[in-house]
Amino acid sequence: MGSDADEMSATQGWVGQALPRFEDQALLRGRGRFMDDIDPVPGVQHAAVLRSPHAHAQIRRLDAAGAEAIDGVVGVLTGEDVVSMSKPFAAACPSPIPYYCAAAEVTRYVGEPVAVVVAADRYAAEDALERIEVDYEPLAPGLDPRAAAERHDSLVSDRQFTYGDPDTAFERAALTVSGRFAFPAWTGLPIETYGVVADWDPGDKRLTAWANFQGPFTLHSVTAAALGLPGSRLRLITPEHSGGSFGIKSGVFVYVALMGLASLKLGVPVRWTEDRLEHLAASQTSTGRVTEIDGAFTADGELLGMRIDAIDDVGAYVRAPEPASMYRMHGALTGAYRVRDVALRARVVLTNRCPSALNRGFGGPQHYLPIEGMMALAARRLDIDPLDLAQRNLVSGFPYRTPSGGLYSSGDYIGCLQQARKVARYEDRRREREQARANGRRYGIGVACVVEPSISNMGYVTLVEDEETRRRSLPKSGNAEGATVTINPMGGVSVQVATTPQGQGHATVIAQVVADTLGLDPVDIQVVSQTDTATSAWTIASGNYSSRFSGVGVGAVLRAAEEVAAKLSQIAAHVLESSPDDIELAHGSAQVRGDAQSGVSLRRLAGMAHWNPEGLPAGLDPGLASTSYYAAPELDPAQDDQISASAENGFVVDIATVEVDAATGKVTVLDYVSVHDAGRLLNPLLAEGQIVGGFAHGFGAVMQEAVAYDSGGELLTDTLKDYLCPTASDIPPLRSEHRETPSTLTPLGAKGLGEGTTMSVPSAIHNAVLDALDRDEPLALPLTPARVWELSR
Amino acid sequence: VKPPRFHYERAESLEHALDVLAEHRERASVLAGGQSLIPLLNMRRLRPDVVLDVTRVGGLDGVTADAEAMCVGALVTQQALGERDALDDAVRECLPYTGHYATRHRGTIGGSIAHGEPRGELPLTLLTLRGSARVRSRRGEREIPADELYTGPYRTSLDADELVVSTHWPTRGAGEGRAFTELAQRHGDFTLASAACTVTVSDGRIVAARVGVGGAGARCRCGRGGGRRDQPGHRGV
Repeated sequence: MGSDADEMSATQGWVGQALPRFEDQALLRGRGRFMDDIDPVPGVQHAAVLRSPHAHAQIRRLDAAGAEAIDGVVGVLTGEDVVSMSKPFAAACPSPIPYYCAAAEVTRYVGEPVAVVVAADRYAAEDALERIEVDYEPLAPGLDPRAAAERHDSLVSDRQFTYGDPDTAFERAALTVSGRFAFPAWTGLPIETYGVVADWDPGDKRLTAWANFQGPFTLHSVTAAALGLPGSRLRLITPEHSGGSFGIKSGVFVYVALMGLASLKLGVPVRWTEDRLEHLAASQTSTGRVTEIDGAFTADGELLGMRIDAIDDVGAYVRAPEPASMYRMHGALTGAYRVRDVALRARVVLTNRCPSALNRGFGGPQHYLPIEGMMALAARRLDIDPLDLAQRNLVSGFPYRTPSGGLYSSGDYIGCLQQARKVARYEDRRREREQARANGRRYGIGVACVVEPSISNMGYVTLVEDEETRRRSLPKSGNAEGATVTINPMGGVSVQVATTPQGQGHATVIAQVVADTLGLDPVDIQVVSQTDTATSAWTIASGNYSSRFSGVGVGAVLRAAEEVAAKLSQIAAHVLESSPDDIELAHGSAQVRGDAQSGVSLRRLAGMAHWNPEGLPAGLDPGLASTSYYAAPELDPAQDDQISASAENGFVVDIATVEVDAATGKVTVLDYVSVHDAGRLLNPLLAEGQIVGGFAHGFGAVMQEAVAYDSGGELLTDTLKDYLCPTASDIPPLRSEHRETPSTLTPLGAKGLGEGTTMSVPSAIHNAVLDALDRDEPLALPLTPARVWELSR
Repeated sequence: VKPPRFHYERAESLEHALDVLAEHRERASVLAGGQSLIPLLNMRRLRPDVVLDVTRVGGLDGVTADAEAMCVGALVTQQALGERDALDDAVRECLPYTGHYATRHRGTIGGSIAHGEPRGELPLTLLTLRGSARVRSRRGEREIPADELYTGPYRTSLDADELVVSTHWPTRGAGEGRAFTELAQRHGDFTLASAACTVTVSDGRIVAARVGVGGAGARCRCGRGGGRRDQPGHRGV
């Protein structure tokens, strides 16, 4: 950084600048140290997992003697061992089927672990897997969530919520629009698969696990409880670098438990690195959802009421934090619209599929497809332009409290929509559409308006309980994060966080924030993001999910940095014989405001704090470090079935223009415009990266990706030959723009923005294809050429 | 994804390779570019006793062309062939659809033809152009016309001791045009549908036409027509 950069920092600060990522040096030079690269303990042995080939089967007999006889094999952990050595994983709602990290009697999805072989190397471990004899008796699998909702042994939750008076709204309606929308399960497909090294210490009965987990989050507690360990005896360490997660790696906790048990039983440290086949079959997927929706409209397009009947398919077990997918969007149940009269029936079911949990957008894509799809169907029926219909119903006064308890603190939804209209050249597009159609082309325009929640309220998942049960349990709310800022004797600044970044660039933004607070250059700040539950400052909410970094992650860092800055100012005031209030920190030194000659360097101040505690002002503690916590405000526990499920809510308007080739079923995206308001952008370059990444993730869901099973529960997408994640060359160009309406709730005015396009893109493209094909029924996803070709005939 | 135990044999010469094939027959798998074999080994879907590495065998990486045909050595990579000047239209057009940029640098022409992927671009093109594969064993050498090469998905009429040493792509004749196209969900994926064709025009009339369709059945197929305009130019598959 040269003097130009200094100039910028002096005038406008580092926050808000499009600073390239500091993280990229290590990654681009091949010096990233990922889970499989680190060798934390000597003598590690290698695990391979035997998995069920059946969607649903009784295990009649499992004989591992043949495996134990293989050269190099240390031993075998079976499902029976797991059941005798551990407890089922806890989840927010009771389930008729206990969830252990391996199956003992009945397997419930293709890929479910039934045994673990530990050997000197992975080759021997995999050879030994083939020698384990298992007699399976296949049972009938259940794969249809609607059928599962009719059975008491697979329906795990059924709750009804009513806000306002939906019955009257529907009586008043001139038009009722109904549809059934299905959002299939898909995944984030991180390049780096799951990885764990588990080391059980039999002396002090402590499990240390290195894992590329995105926690510790609530799942440290869930894992410790399943292993019967007190909190002090499960130490979880997440390496500095991650090859991506997108939510999918929240499921690593299951394997921390499984490998922990293997290490405990066999007395050796155990390493397991998931291979791609295991990952596709059995890591984690998003939650599949089937939604029946009814919308009540006036003749001129006012949305009066909604009835939503949603069934979430969480797969074979309720894997924490499920059934959270159903309630993550609860504060934004009514989306971007003013409608007050709403009913929701929320059911959660088990099927013989891979368990679901976090995946970018968590609950959002599933929530908006029916709402935005209903709006598109209504626009067709009412013969109102879809953008006009949206505009007529958008929330316009802020702060806005939604009927389900959400708080939209700030925004300019109509301004965003107008900007999208302009950027998309919407009126031109409509004319092009008419011309194209006159020429027999299948040209369509789709709109999506979505509220993007960020910084989840830890209490929202308690909506799965009824009011009375909830009152009896520990209240849950908020979302807190911790951080530590330390200045060493030479004035070197380091920051330690528990935000477990997975490629988002947290270190860069943290350096920008701390540089502004301490008057330094971001390159001078070292950020340590390796998370260690024994040493990091963390809370039950800590981790990387619900786009919480720019709000609470940054909030904690800012507080810790401000505390250290305050101390520096006190020392400087003492030295300069001034008042701390008159001290400013800039260019690596402290000076009396307005007196540029008065400076004392940060290095000197740090030296004093470390070397000469006797020389510090009276009453000041020695040392220059602070650990601080921050929780977003206004996140109360649920009450009367209402909750502000997320601290902040951004806004996204997307306009998609597509053309369908009727001969081949191919959908071409001609233009895609996305206008965002995520409050103040801390780093516009990283913000754009999130928007583009979220776009690709949503594009995959609507066009190509789905974790597919046949009617017998056989996994059809078991290799990357069949699971089609879009590559860079498949993703259409995106034109995105930002508005910045600062948050009134977060410390720097930022709102989360990592998931918005994943929530909006499936709806906008679905609606555009619906328009191109002139259909009045919801379309099934993904919109593969075969499916679209059938519909085009 | 770790392969089961196998014996690795590196052929130092063609004779050596043919000796190994003669000895181990079906129990041996030939490793050239490895773009199909290695994943199959790692997924344990193939369990050969012997993996015969032919990449060091000399004399199989040349391309020659004359008035009759282009002769492509079995070890010529897809990328190397694609970069050749004056390449036949259909071959030039099919190569970019064959896998991905990265895999084409290792994947070989002989390997693709011998593997017999039913949705493969190169087998379809060879079939449509009426090309052939030259195969050799200790018993001698023979030429298999593409029409007789494929007997089913991943199945060929090669005997277990035979090795493809080259493939032969007939030179375009006077008045002949050739083309290849493909529809896939993503670029580089296995095809949803692909087509290769050759059409010969004389005096403004189509006198011969041959169309191959891939992705529509268990193996590539080809039909032909020509002469009279009232006859369909290809046979549906």
